[in-house]
Amino acid sequence: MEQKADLLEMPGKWDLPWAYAAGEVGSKYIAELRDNARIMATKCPECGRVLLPPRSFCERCFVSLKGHWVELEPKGTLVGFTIVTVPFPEQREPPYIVGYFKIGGASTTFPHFLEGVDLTDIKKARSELWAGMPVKVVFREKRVGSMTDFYIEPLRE
Amino acid sequence: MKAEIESIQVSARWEIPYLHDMGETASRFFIELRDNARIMATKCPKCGRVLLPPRSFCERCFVSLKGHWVELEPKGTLEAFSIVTKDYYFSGMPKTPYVMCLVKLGEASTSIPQMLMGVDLADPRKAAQELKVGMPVMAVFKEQREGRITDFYVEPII
Repeated sequence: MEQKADLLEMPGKWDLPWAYAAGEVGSKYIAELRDNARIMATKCPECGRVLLPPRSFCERCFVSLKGHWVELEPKGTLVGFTIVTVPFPEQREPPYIVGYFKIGGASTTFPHFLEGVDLTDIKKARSELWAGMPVKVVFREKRVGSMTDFYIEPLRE
Repeated sequence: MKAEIESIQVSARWEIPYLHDMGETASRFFIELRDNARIMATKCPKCGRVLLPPRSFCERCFVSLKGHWVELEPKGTLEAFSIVTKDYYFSGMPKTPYVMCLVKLGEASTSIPQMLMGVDLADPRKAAQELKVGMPVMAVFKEQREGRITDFYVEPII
């Protein structure tokens, strides 16, 4: 009788540290978060779109946006969200909420964590969130020059 | 006058854990290392080449090597080496200095990379002078083995 071969699995791990240069526009954006706790975007003088994160040129009009800075109001709307309940490798402990947000007068949405929502009952939390709900930007006391220098919370009046 | 712009570097890290299925042939190779402290290779019945690490088929003759196992003598020759002295970021590697080498073991037709131990590295330049391509080495098995290539290392035969 043929014996089934013992089969091994080899666990491995790629641990890849890396860094990128944020460039002129990205550097100013990050420095403003860190030093002045404000969210800066660039505005296209031709089409009027406000881009967050800021870009150095408008990819529709091919116009340079250098110097075309606008400060955004630290408020906005939730555009989409997902409540993460399963762990992903090297990510924070679930549950947590990842949302897409439109901040200030920005024409674009960007992803961030939505904090300040009670997640003990996921179904209940989900029923209390909706696309279009107002949110606010909250800056941390200690800022290091990172997207996590701020987070988003529901705006409760 | 143009204001000085601070250039910011954003640091990040990808940590990607994964599982690799060893398959029948490599599984046996690692089990033999772990349980019997011996180095097993596969030998092609057609061209006679002895492949280490063992392959399940000969990529020259396209002949299956399943069941064509040979045990290798835990001795061989140093084919190439590099003394690593600079702390580059090499994931999973020991603290520098250490010697990485290519070694041909037993009757193997191929060489494998392995750690070369038992070399005094207090003066890496002197150590490099004393190591010779072609010098005899032997495989040394660790007491505690876990079915990994690190279950053994090679040492110069003095």
